[in-house]
Amino acid sequence: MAKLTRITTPTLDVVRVLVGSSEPVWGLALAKVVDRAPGTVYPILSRLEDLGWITGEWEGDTDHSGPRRRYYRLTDEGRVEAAAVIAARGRDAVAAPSPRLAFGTAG
Amino acid sequence: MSAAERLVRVAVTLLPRARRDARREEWLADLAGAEEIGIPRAQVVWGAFRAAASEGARAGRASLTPRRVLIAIAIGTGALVVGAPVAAFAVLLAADARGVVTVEKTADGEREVFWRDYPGIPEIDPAEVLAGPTLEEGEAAGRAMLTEIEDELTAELGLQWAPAPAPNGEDVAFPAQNYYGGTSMLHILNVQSRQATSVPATWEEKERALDVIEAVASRHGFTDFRLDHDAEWMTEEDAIHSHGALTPEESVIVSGGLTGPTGQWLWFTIQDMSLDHDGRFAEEFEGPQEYGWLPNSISFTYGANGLLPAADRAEFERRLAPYVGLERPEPLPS
Repeated sequence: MAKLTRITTPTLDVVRVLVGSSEPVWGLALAKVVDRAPGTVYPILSRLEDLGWITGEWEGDTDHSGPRRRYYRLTDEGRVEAAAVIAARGRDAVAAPSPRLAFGTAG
Repeated sequence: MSAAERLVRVAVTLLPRARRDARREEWLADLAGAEEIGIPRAQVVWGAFRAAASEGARAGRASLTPRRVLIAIAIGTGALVVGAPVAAFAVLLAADARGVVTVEKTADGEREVFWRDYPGIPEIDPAEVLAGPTLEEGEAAGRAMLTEIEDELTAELGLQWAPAPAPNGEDVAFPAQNYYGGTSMLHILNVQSRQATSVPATWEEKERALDVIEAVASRHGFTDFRLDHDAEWMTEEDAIHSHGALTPEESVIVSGGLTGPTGQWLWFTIQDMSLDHDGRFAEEFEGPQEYGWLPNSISFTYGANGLLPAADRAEFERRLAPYVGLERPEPLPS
């Protein structure tokens, strides 16, 4: 498990939402929840995925046609690392996931 | 296929091949669902480019500098705006812009000035706009300059020319944002030259080509010839990643530009894949090549960041009146 060497506030926001969600989160919905542009969130997700903190999975059966949405969740190791990062930042416990997360779940 | 979908597909070409299929599907799905959750589709497009640049860089591919990303955007849209990056991004991000309001002192106290309605753009003095070429004159002069460059390069080096890709057809003028949260009356202009079907084999010949470009452009009032290799922001690492080598002589890509009056510019690129010793540039060029760009070539783009259509002059002056004498505020970040 690689360590995050640079933890920006947007990265922390993303991590906190993922820690607080029991279900995988659609990447674009995650951008909405943290109130940041996809241009900020996509590279963060990519970086976290490369580090092994999160893993992506395709959505299952859906009521929409076309390409499948990609959902993200923390890996077991990533959850440990994320909790440590959040604790180190001295922030409050992870907030409850926003209702905006309710855009379907993977698989 | 919509323009946004096309741009996402272009962004995907910046990625290592192994990642393209998954990211293409992911970002196209996000694009399809963006409106459902209230995110502008343009933000998804921009996000795809940023993520592709980030992933590409981490994967050890050539450095995807903002200019390279812009080149890819330009290829996708047919609007080669590499010389006007702010303009290009502003078009994409216009939906996010917030209006700028300043407070000006008057004889009666103070008044708020709403710059969202400003008809110009921050970077160009409106007096310069009114004194400079119209959009139509700029386009005509720009096309003439490109033709002269092609003709003189043909005479000097025996080059032949082929049409460059033009996904937008004949459209070369695009409404500009005013960078204060509204739409300008000025237009961005991008006129692409044809592309040479070959590239000079030696540096001496490439230098002759550069001399021709500078000489013709200077006759049209363009100055400040510069190579990107010499730009103050260019680090050694950037030069190697973006161009292939520290020196223009050894580089796959030699690019640069000149500046003209009223926000006009000329940008050129010489691309020589014979200097791509590790195949890195050839792989990167797969996407552009699919759009019809030739791997070994010389091409130019004439552009302007804000020219006024002749028919709009009176309306421009009317809308400009509330702002006369005011210092233009800083533009919104794009």
